[in-house]
Amino acid sequence: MRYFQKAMRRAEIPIRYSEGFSPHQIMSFAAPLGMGINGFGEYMDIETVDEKQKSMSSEECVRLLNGVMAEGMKILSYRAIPDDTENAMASVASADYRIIFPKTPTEEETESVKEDIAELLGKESAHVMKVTSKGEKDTDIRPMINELKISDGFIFMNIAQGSNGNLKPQTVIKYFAENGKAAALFSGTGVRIDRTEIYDSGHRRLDEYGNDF
Amino acid sequence: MREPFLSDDILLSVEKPARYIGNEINITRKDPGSVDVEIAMCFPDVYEIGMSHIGIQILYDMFNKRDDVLCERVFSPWTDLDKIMREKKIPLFTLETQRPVKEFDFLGITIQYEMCYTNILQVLDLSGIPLHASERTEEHPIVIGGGPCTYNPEPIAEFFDMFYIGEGEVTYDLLFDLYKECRKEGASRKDFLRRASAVPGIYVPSLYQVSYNEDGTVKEFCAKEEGVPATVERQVVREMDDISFIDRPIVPFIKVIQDRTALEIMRGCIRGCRFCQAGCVYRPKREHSVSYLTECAEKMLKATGNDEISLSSLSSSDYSGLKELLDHLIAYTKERKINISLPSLRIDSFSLDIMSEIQDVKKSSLTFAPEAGTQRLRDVINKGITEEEIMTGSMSAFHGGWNRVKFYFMLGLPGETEEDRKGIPELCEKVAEAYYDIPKEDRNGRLKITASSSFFVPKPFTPFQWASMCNAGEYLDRAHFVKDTFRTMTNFKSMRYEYHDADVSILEGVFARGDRKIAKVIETAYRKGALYDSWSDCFDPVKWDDSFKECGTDPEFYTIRERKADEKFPWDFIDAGVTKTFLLKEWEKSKKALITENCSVACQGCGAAKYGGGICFENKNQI
Repeated sequence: MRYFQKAMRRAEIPIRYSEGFSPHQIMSFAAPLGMGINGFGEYMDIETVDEKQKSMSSEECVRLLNGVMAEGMKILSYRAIPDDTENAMASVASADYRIIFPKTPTEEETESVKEDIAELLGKESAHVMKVTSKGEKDTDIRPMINELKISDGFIFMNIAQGSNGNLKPQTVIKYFAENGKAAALFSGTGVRIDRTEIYDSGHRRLDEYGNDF
Repeated sequence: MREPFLSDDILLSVEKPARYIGNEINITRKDPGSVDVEIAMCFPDVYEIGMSHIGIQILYDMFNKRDDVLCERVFSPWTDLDKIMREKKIPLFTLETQRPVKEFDFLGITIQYEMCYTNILQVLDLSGIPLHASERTEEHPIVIGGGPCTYNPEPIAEFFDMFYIGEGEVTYDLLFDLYKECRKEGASRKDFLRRASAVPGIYVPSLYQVSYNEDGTVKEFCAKEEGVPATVERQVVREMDDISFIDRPIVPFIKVIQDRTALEIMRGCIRGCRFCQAGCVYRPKREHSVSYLTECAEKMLKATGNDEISLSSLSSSDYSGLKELLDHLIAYTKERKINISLPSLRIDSFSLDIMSEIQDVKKSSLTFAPEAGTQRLRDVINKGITEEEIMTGSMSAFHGGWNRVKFYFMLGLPGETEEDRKGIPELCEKVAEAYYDIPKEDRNGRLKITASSSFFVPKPFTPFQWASMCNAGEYLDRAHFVKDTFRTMTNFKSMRYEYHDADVSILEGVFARGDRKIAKVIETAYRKGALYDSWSDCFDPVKWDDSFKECGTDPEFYTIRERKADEKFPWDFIDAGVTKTFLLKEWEKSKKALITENCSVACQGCGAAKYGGGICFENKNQI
């Protein structure tokens, strides 16, 4: 959060501040990104000051922000959303994740994974002990998995995200590491996790909410 | 983009992995192949502490401004990563290019407080550099130390190739030019060190030897070779505006202790408080001009996006351009919703006006540092704050809406009596009574007074360098007595009293006035696992007790023993400006509770005028 607050100042984006004696920037993130996960499609909402914003185009704001970003971070779009839109956090319902193994799975491993996925998807419920900061908690992951497949050596999944149900990709990995034929593959170190997109309950990308100006 | 030196698995298994990945906003990226000198700059504590220190940012910026020099940062790995690095034999690395420290030409370590000494050994150890300077070869970086603890570097002299004594802006350029020259000529490490000893401000411990008297005091300290200077001179910037400021301060990713832009407004202090080392070794007071500061502030805020700026100096009320500077800053920061923080202010009507404008009065507290509970003891330590000032200041503040007050005190000051100790709660009680005398509708709820005592540690280059300390038990007895006395105060419910760790203070006392014999104790404790001694949950007094015993060293020789006027000190070879004669005179005056006026009232002839600048020349009153 502090990173983006300072970036807004450096880029001189006309962000709006709350009233009162210790004003803070009006900013919120759609969905927090887990530690160690790469984000390719992340979203945040801000409120800006009309008089200043109207003289700045989307393209200009993207350019200003990218001028002050850390290496490896890039702003993709800056869109206006209608005043009465729900904030990003409330809209989030699911997200796409990509799991990349340190070495591309062999044909045999790929087959095992396919079988494990088919088995999981065929179930009504699938329990695993989720790791939390307070210890471990029993979770049924099946209802929160919307899509799951392996293709081109990557695992792709679309899983529930947000206040109405939140699944961490690490929990899915843990499930496979404890059940199924490809357990060894999922238990290894150096597995990379990317989040590539975030959707609302109608499977609309959050990007589609706004318009460039 | 650089790959982190540590694997993802390791990063995800430690606390705050962002401490170790670098890549922050405004770091300097240079191609190592394009420079002649590479320096790894180290603050020997964890990232969040080191990145709060303005000095390391000043040097980083200054070194990197030279095209032929590259400077990168390194900090102590936290205990979790330290363990992994030893197990997996991972060398300590810098943040910018994620390269092993061992590959650098210099390892510069800034030494801000005595309790980081074991961390210095950790940094050397994990970097693969022999702890003892005498064992290093051509392949190892030159280890150089700087900062306030260099005013007595003797306890850690064994571990350093050299020290830079004084302000970094002055002779580092000469040192680097010399290094380049030596490299070009193919000179050896020893040659370089020998020639570096001639650079003003550079102390090369290996070129000097110490002998001791029967009683353990220093007999003689002298150079081993011809041509090595007998005295090392502290380096002082004469004209503050001549030095460059930090164009683009680094912005950490994680929250650091001081998460704001620090603006150094001046160096030195005119007050002459007798316990304060900084007040002596940063003399004379030298100010930046208001125009320099406003330009600097705006550039730094724009380059970082920070939401708070802090004015940094030893006594900001003594900055002559304070009103003008604040007028500019308040205008600039108000519309940008940036906070201004103003520590080190005397409490008077001027400062109260300012503070109510820039702070949320309901949430902030006023800070007084009487240091002693009675006027008599305040006069002994030359702390020029009177009870009347405290009362007047407090009353103005209370009428202005403040209801939180902090008081800083010390216990164990020279000549302290029970009366003085009682004075601490009594002073707080007077302030509390004054508060509650104000009609309820004119004041802001309940009063909260927090009083805290640290235990007095005599420091080199102060009039109290001859003083004795108490032992830990005695310090704690005094603290308990003060706490018990607080409980008898009428308004006790509005007060809180805290005190520091006595064992840490004793150790600080040993290091502050220690000699070369202490090095062995530090190394012994380090090998026993002592680390992060400045962190209360890491400090282990048992390791230190055992180390002193094993080495046959008596800590009380360094702490409790009062020094004779003619004793040679381990740090006497340093010329810090203020003369030993002056300090001795002040020590004698303190015994009679006689005050000494500050520099702006009358020059006391301390010796700092020889630097040719600052307050010494703004003021024609000479003694």
